[in-house]
Amino acid sequence: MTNYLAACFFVLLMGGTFRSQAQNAPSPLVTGTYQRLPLAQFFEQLAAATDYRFFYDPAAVDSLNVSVQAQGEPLGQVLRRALQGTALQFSVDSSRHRQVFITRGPAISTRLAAGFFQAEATEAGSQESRQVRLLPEGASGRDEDGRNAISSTTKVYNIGQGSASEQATLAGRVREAATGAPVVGANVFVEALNLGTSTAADGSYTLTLPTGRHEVRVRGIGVKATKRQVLLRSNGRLDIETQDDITTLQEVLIRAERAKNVTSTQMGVDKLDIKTMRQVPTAFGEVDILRVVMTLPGVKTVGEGNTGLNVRGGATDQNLILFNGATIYNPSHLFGFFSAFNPDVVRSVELYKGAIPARYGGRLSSVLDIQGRPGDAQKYHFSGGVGPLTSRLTLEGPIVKNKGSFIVGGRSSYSNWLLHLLPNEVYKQSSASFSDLSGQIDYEFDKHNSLSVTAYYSTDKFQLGRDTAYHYVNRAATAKWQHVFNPKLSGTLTAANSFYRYDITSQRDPSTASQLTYAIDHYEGRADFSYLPTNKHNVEFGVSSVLYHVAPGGLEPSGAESLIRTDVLEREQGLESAVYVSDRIDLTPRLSVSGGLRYSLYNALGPREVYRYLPGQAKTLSNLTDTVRYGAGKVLATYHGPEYRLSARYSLTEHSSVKASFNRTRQYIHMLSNTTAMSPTDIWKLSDGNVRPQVGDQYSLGYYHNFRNNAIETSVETYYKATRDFVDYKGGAVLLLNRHIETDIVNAVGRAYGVELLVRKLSGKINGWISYTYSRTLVQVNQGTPADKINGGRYYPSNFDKPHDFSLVGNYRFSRRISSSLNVAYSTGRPITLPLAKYYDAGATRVYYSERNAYRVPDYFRMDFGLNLEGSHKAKKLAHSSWTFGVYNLTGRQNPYSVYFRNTGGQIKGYQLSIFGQPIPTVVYNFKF
Amino acid sequence: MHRLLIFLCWALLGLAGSSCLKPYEPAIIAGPNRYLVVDGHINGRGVTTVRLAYSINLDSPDRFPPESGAQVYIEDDRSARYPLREAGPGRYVSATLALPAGRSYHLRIITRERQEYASDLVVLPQTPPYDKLAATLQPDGLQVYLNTHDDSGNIQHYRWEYDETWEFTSAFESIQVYKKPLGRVLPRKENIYRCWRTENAATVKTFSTVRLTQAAVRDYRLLFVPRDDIRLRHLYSLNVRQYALSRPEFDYWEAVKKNTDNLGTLFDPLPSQIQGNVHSLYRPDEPVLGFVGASTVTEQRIFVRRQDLPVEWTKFINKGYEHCVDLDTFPSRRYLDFTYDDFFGDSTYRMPVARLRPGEAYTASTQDCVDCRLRGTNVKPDFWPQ
Repeated sequence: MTNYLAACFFVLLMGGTFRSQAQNAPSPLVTGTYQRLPLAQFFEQLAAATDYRFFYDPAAVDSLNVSVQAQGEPLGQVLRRALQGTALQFSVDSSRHRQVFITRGPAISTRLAAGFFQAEATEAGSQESRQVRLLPEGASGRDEDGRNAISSTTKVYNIGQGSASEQATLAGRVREAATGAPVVGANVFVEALNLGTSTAADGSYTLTLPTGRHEVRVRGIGVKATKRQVLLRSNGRLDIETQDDITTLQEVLIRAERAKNVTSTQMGVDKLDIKTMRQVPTAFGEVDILRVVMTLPGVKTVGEGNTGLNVRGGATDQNLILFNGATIYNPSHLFGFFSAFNPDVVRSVELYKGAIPARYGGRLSSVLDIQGRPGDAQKYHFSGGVGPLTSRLTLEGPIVKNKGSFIVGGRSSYSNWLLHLLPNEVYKQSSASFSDLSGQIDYEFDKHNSLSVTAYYSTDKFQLGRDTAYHYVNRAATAKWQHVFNPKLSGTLTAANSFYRYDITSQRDPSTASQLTYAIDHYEGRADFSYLPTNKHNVEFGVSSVLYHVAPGGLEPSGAESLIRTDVLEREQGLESAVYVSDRIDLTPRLSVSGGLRYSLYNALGPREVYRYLPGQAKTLSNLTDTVRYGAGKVLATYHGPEYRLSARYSLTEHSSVKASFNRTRQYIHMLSNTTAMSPTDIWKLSDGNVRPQVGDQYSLGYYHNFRNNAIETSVETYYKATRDFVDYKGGAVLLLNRHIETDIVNAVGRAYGVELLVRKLSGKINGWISYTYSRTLVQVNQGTPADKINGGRYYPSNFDKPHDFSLVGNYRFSRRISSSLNVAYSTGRPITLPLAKYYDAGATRVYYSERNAYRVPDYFRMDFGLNLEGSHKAKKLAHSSWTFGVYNLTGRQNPYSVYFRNTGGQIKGYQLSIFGQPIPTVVYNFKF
Repeated sequence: MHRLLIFLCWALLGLAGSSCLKPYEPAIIAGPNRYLVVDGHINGRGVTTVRLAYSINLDSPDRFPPESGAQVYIEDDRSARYPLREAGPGRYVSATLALPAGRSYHLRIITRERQEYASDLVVLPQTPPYDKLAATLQPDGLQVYLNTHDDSGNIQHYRWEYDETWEFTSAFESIQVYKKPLGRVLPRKENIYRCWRTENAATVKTFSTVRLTQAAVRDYRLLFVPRDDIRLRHLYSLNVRQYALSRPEFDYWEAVKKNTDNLGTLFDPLPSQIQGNVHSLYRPDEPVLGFVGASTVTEQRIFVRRQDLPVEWTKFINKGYEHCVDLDTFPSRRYLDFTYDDFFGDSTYRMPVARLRPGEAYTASTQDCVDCRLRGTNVKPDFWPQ
């Protein structure tokens, strides 16, 4: 359809061209003999003889002489003969401007005058110049060095040499002119051919096109749309610089997305850029990446003040959270109330919840890929913000102008002044603080090699009264080297290290004063390649390996009086390796399939002692038969298996498509948590001889339809998921300092299914999205003794089974400087195990509980409102500033964060705790200079 | 963990004065929820007491219905039986026994409805004696510490049950009584001023020495009595029973503790349907609540006298009686139109305290301020000194 339209347009255009030529003033006639005349002189004489002005690059015509004789011939004919055998081309503008353009190579310039198409196609010497191009007013024919953006859009870039083949590959990078930062996810396309691609994380793109003249257009988020005139002769490079689009964000945003929703084979993927995230009102004005992600369909959380994500019925440990490629094990501050990523250094967030690309692995449910923002490669900037809870400061600038840049951003909570105002002695002795710091250095050695180094650090300290102090730290660092072998093949080499530790210090009693510690260290190396043999294939392949070191726990006495025995669990080691290959094939313009295979191999390594249990029996201490000691580096258990990543897209019309996918994932590391939420005392445990890896299969089917010229995107996705061997706990399981944790955990079977509806409008004065999800998440524990079976071995709702989930994120822009946003969230209450009966035993009334998760807490509802006031939009001024006003939980509904029962003097009473149970007003000031 | 959350809520919002907690009262789950509860412990040396009752709905105001008329006996692994007889509704006691060591024991029950139940066989260990059971003065109250140890090192798990008894007096000592049929106030013979109250510990107290370098319990904090508590008013007594536990029994009580003390919060373990060690012989799926362990019991009682406490602690203790300030006088101008029966007829509102002067004039106060039996018993426990 598109092709047909384009063809019609082309024919019309050509028709117009011929017609316009017929209406034009005739070419002036030239008479004269020019013998071995330097070109420059020749043009001067011609200019004198006609009233035409000649434009040319003196350097280009420097050493050339012409000999030509003419007798009343038209100017074009004379020029053609004169320039024969040189690399120069010409075009004659016979409108009232009367100009002649001389260019090296096959350059054609035309212009539109007073509504007429005026072309010299027939007159011009180049056979390749079949297309009509429009030259904007004010463009200078001589100005070919790309000094300003307008000229670069009209300049014809000559790519490659000769034109031996019919097809050639055009590759390069798209970057912001001002900062040199790569433009990610921008569409690079040739509209006439209906061919296009989008830029990768480093801004690179590759397009295979027929040789010849093309107009390459670029559209992306946050950048001004631009285009390049290209004459493609053979494979070559074209780097494109774009201008920052300061004000018209939304307008650009849809264009970037419009290709993806309907046309990509990818399903179950959501991408948010930081500008969108900033609009969503939050508690205390802390821009919170994870909380915005929770508004997307299929993403839930157990509690309001919790950043643990449950994606399509997955547990909170089944999400791979990457910050610049490094795994972050605890992505939250203050027990999960805030996410631990400073919004000032984040560029975009991508959530894969359905078809996870083959290059990612190691987690069952989703991948949350958080991309940091490279620094400005042109100028130094300070930016930051002041909020009621934290302040932020970011510094960025060039290392080597246009080649290298750095960015460092920090965020810290204020000292504990808030706590000290509280009318409670215990609280006055308490403290709570957190901070995070991240940095990134980018350097481009040449067009083929670039390096990016990032670092991340976050820490939390929390003490209640004088008893117990919690402290945890995340640390991560990555180094990425990107290399372009040729326009078709490029690769990235990544080394990453992640580290997470916590300690809990108890000081209450001198005799039991102790410190409990836990740490995990993660070393990762990977090589990823992208290969585009033709336009119809998009091949990715690579290898990766992760070495884990876990210190599963240690309890040590603190103080001389302590009777605590030092108890340090043996370290665990594991090596997780994978190879993958995937290819996206466009079988027909309508049908495109994407197939990937990832093969992962996991080795649990010594030195370690491993317990052996009676085979086929429940793992209990009474079934323990043997203890085996493995030496350093010895493999104590091996697991491996394929992970399939298949998806297909069939375009029904230009604006709608159907997609299907099948996904298998494996997870070799498990989070042990005695809570349903993520908490700092969670432990990551490696698979070993007694704890099997988790395996998950997901089938999904979706329908996508865009309306109003892609301004409104809609989608319906359904999924069915089956997981096995994920970790659940026996009643009263001991997780800390347990040398035989396998006796307290059970391998559960889970299944989840749901329908997700999304309507999204990302342009215009009103924009935002509405999502609704119906989903169920069920768990089954049917092994061991009758007491071990939960709910008699039947399926029961998981802790995060919330069938109905609705969210609305809406923005209304009053003017360029004032915008408001509204956020509405509703979901079914989470399941809860309720007390059923009371009885009297051992001197007190006690409670008999229902089956696990048989009931639900009250439904959740919240509405937030925010107002953003931007400073003036002068592009060049010393400082940009903005104000954000917000009210979180506008209706003040007391949503139960937690419901619990307490036995007070024999009476059993239920309580609900609402953390944000009232409207919370906020003011945040942001600045940049 | 839950304390942390409440604290966080306060820290974030407390200044705005909003309450973080509010009662949660879901539509209470209907249904019979009637399960047999076996509350008892096989005492290796002494009297074994077992209580049989049924569970009731959470919101039920009823008492727990006892299981009367059941046959209950202790049986060892060689089928030797030691019967228990019903000493009160649902309360079954054995004779004073000295059960042979080295054998396993369990409890067998045949209810009146001919349902048969049995607990699992358990070995019977010797519970070690206390090394120390003492109350220590602290600035803000009385801390009771407990020490014990096992020389053999075999006993690593303990549970303690205690009951507290204290002597207290009501706010006003009534020496007169209104005799309704006579319509007259007469001298009171019965003591309703000095009473005793006994309470069982509502919390499960367990401790394990597994993590310690010695199989010893040192300075275990059994309980704390705040300095202004009425329990310290005159004489306070604490009776502590110590049980040595097997590992499964310890796990059971740990689970009970988790279920009872603090449950259902986001950060606590999921409450579980706790399985005790008593099973129905005919209906294996029927839940039976309770765990019947076996051991000898070490029991000790301590007293804390008023004169052992700092004077400033006990001088002003009137906790629970703070509102008992003024006495009414009758007859008086305030109650001009009242008859004796109007005034004293409903003892909830007014009871005579003393005769004000010769003639018909009395001081009076509410029953709550006068009659200590509302909060205890006026029967002196037999272990009470003086």
